[in-house]
Amino acid sequence: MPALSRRDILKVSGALLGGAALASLPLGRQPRRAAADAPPSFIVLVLDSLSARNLSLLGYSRPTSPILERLADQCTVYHNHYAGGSFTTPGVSTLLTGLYPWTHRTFHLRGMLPEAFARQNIFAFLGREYTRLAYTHNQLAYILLSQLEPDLDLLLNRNSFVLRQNTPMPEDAFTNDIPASFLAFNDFMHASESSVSPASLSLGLADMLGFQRAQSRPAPGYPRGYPSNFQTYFKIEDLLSGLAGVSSDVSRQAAPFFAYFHLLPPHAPYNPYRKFIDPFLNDGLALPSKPEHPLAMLDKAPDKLLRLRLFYDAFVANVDYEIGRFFAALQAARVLEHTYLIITSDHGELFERGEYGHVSPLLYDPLVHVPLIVRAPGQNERRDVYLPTSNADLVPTILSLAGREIPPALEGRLLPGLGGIEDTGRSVYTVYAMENSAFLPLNTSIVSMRKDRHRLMYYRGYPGYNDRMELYDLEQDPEELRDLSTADAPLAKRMKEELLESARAADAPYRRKS
Amino acid sequence: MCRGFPDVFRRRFPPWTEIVSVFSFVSLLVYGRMFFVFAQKLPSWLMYLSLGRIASILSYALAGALFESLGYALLLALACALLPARWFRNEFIARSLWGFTTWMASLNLFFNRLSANGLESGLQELDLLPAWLAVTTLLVLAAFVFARAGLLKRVALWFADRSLVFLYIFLPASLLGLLAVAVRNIV
Repeated sequence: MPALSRRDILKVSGALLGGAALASLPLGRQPRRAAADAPPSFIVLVLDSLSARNLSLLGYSRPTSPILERLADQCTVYHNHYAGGSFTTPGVSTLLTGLYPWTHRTFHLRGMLPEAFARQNIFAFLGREYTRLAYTHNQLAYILLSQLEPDLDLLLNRNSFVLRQNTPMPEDAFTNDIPASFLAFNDFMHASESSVSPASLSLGLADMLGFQRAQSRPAPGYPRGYPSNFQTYFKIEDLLSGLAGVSSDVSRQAAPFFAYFHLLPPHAPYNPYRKFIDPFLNDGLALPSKPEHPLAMLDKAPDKLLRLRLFYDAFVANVDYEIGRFFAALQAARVLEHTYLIITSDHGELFERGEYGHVSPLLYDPLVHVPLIVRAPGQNERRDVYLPTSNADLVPTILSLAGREIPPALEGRLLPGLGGIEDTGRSVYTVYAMENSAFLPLNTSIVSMRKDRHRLMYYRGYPGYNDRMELYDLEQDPEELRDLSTADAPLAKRMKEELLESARAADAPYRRKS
Repeated sequence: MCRGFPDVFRRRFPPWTEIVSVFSFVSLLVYGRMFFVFAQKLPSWLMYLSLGRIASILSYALAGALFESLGYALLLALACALLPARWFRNEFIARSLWGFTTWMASLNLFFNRLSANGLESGLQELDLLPAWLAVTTLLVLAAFVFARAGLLKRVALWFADRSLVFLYIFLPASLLGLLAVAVRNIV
């Protein structure tokens, strides 16, 4: 009998963690035979930092998503879909609440939903008729999901399906108080992916030693090391095969289910599998030169940005390949016969104007334009929607498809093609307000507004860049090179007034307080 | 043998009062670092966390700092018990204080360097970690050796004596923190 390798043991451990949690759910043994009028199930797969602008499915010249292009033949593809925020916390909060960041007020890196909104989420709205489960190994998404745990039937352990951790994370011991213990340990006492200034120097040193040890270990098949988030290491194939198994298990029960799966790839570090390490090297990708933006925080040189984009695109191609395997596994388990599969992202990724990454005030299209691909049960033809849509639309759309009442306070609308009307005058927003207090009106913020073919970015409160606008015609100028805010001043003014009116309405409760 | 154990224990370990002095100084540095980072984080936390949430973070941190301080003090006392008396026990306060101060100062410098240019470049500098550990070990040993020198010893004793008063703040605060952590996780 062959000896078990360490990888086998880790896989079994991950499966056991997930399996043990699933054992608490009342699962049957046969695939569910849904009645014709039974509510459908949903799988929402969020791929962190996946920009629509880097997918060949949506027009990128590098062939980064051949699998999605093929799958799209049986999906509805949204070509102008926008995230609620430019990084995980606001982006995920919008996905889960159907509200824009200026309303749910979760627009800081380690922000949390205020009590008033924490119970108004997709899991609570769907109610107990649904089995509601969630998984993420993204720490920022995990802290938000832990806030919503009272409305979840199962929040899978964030260490399920991962290969290993650098150092044990103490907050995992305080499962009754995840948000506070997470902030205390992860954001304060330990070194973390966003802070190398730990309050406890001993814990910080242990983190660094663990990180260095993990980095020096071999990662077979991964020339740049395993994908990681500083503290945990994983393979995309393990994550998605684990989640396909979870979906298959939960689909066997009588009740419909709603599953929210949020995976880090293609978030940095861009460490793809060997096969995808350099697929686009020297491919001659031609990109226009863009001037550095005064608010760019990282000041990266163009050649460095080009190199980072090359790595990112390779990682996107790897993710695309694994989505294909995930889809095939779900089909083989007959999960998709009665389940909507929704693939999107919490925000995009930027490689231009001196900026790289996504925790950035530069709300240019690659950062806020995300994919949305929806496959309905039994769908076998492609549909394309070009109207602007938002991640805030997912909550009302899912509720409508599930036959639930849509709370009037939601800011999202039904998605066109899934019950929504085709409103060409509709505006969708993305909000960045990391320098603004969550408890005060928005005085320092950047808001992106997409309306029809135009996109306006409105800056306020930034020294030297206050009350500034940029306006682009995305049909004529998809690379956002010609600012029309002066040339088409009347349009810019109209859009700005509409934007400010919406912002004022969202600010109203905070104006009264202040 | 069992009857003799307490005597051996007493003989090898430093006097209780000296352990408390060292613990108080260790606490001063550990809690000091914690409060320093807390003060750095507070303005941003106030932007998005409620006061209750900040208090709960502080509870965990106070409890953590207590255990960290106890751990260091215990480690020093154990080292004292294991090493020959003339190496460590006879100058327990002075050597512990200077050794520990060197260790913490070096750790501080190390993390300052890591965080100076952001996480990305900081992590690339982690290759320096083994060299840093080696240099720090040498510095701590040097501090041990020179700690018995007149002036250094007097300074150490002066600090040890004066840091005791901080325990009257740290210990009750940490016990309250522990209580809050227990309540939050049990209720």
